[in-house]
Amino acid sequence: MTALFAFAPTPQDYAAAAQVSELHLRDELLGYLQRQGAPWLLSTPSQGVCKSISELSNSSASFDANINGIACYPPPPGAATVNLTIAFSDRRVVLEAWSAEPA
Amino acid sequence: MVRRAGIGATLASGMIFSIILVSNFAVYYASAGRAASYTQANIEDWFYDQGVVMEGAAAINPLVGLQSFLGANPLDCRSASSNAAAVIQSLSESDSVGGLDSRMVARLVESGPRSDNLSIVAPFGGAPNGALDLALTFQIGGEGPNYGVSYLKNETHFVNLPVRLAEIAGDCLAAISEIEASIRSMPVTNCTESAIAPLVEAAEQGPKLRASTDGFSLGLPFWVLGTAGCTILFEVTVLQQGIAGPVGPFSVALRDWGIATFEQPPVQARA
Repeated sequence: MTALFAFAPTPQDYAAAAQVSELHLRDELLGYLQRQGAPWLLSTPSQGVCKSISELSNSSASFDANINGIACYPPPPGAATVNLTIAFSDRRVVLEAWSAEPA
Repeated sequence: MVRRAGIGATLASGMIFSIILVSNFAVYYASAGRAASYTQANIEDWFYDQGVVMEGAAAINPLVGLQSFLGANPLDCRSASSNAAAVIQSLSESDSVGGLDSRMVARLVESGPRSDNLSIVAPFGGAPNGALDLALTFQIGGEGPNYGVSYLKNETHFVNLPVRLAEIAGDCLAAISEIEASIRSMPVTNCTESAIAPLVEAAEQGPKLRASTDGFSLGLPFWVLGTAGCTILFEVTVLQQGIAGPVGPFSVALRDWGIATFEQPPVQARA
């Protein structure tokens, strides 16, 4: 009976699971950035960056790039996004990701 | 007997209820502690990832600034390196993203080779031999006060632009010396531009060949300053083209001036 209570997920458990998901998504973003390289992100036209990052999206997670304030594929309202910001002298790129599963 | 059994059952159910209550508290606090640990790990992870990204941007920015400076106007062969060094120092920068602060100090360093592990700036990472090599000193730090997370890293990385500035300057200065020496040993009888053009062309053959062998091109316009001593002013321009920069290909030109007088004074044409 105690075990039954112990396995009942609490709000904190949900929060912890969401944070694990955030770690995973951010690792994906960093991996993407390291594969493409900062020079590529700086010199590629916005459309090229949008197309490239859209290829990361799948049924469980979506990815977006926001270049100088303009998002390629904006996250849905209320989505819990993780992001990494790369600020070049004249281009600011925010790479974003969010999970398709509810947080 | 029945009464005694009833008391026992009451005591047993009370004990079980107490155990469940204590277990619930234990589970609740363990779960809360786990959530706090995950939050702490999440903040640490964000600091690390965002720190890597900030390093990447801060490493590319001075290369972009340097490309812009070198590609804009020809520099003097004699002062190109010191001018580039001064510009690089001015390209140090600070940035802040979501509570994480970065400071980068850039300086020109002697040519490598030195390798570097900052893969995010490839192919400009490291300090290969012959390139324009920069040492970037980073200090990146932040705090997540509610969870006792503090992050600070001090690192130095090497990046480069594949501009062979010292070689271009060397070819330029050598060309000026050689052309001056050649011209001083060339006799001329007619100090007109058309008459001395073939001589200047002959004088520039050696420097042009060396520049070409090094992967550069060399230009040599000249002007006749005076016919009495047949003195010319010439400009040597050495160009490195097709350099792969962080914002596309560009060229770097260095130039300097020389003055040379032909060996024989020109013979004045009779009217």
